[in-house]
Amino acid sequence: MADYLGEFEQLILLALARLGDEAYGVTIRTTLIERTKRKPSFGAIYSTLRRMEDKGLVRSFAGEPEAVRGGRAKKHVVLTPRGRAALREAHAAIVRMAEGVSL
Amino acid sequence: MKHPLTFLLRIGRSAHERAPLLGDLEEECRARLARGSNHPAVFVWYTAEILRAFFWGLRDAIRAFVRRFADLRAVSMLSPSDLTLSLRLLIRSPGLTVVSTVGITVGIAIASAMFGYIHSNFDPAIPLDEGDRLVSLENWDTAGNNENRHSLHDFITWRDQMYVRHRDQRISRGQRDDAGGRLRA
Repeated sequence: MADYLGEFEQLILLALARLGDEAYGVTIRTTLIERTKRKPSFGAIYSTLRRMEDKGLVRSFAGEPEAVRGGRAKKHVVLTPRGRAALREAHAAIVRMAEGVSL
Repeated sequence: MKHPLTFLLRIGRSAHERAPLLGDLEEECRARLARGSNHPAVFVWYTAEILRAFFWGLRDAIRAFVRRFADLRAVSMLSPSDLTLSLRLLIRSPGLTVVSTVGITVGIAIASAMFGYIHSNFDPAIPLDEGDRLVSLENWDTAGNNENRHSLHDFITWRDQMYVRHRDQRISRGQRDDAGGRLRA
C-alpha cells in the first residue's frame, strides 16, 4: 500500500516532479505561488520536506555555496521511487473520485 | 541581510537544515530588493518568515518530544492532535500569537508585582516562629464556650498595644532598656 499523502505534501511532490534537479526551497515556493496562488512560508516547506524525507519519499543533497545566498549552499531535493509511487497513487485516487462528477 | 531573530531557527532544526533555510531567505530578500521593494518592507517580510519558521520548528520539536516520550500521552489530558491543532492555529496568525503572548506575560508580571506589594504591606506575619506560614488562628472563649474569630491584623494590633503598654510600665519604674540605656518616654 502506498504512503498516505496530505494535500500540501502532494503539492510539494508535484513541484519536485515538475522542477527536477532545480528543486530547492526558493524554486519550490515560487512554483507553489505561481500555480496554486498560495503563499506558503519557507518554514512550512522545510518542515514538510523533512517529514517526507524521514518517510523516504524524497532525498536531499547539498549544492555549492553561492554569494547571492550569503555564502550558503542550496538544499536540492528530488523525488525517490517511493515518493513517485505515492504521488501516482494519490493522483489516481483523486481522478477516480472525480470521475463522472460535474464540478 | 542580518537579522537579530535568526537564533529562533535553532529550535527544532539541525544546522544542516538551518543553513539552506537561511540561504533561501537571503536569496528571496535580495530578489525582492532587486524587484524594487524597499528595505523596511523586506525586513518586515524577513521577520514574519522567521517567526513562521520558528513556530513550524517548535511544532516539529514538540511532535518529536511526544513521539519520543509516548508515555506522556497516557498521563496528559492533551492528545498530540490537540497540540498539533493549537500550534497550527498559532502559526496561521503569528501577529495574534505575539500580541496574546506579550499580553499574558505582562498580565502575569503585573499580578505578581501586585501580590508581592500587597503581601509585604497588608499581610504582616504574626510574632511566632514561622508566623508568616499561618493562615488563620482560632480564639476560644472558654467561659462563654464560644468561638471568637479574629483576623491576623487583630493579633498584630494587640501585640503592638501590649508592647507599648509594657514599655510604658518599664518607663514609669525607671527600668533600663535591653541595651542597658535608661528608658525615656
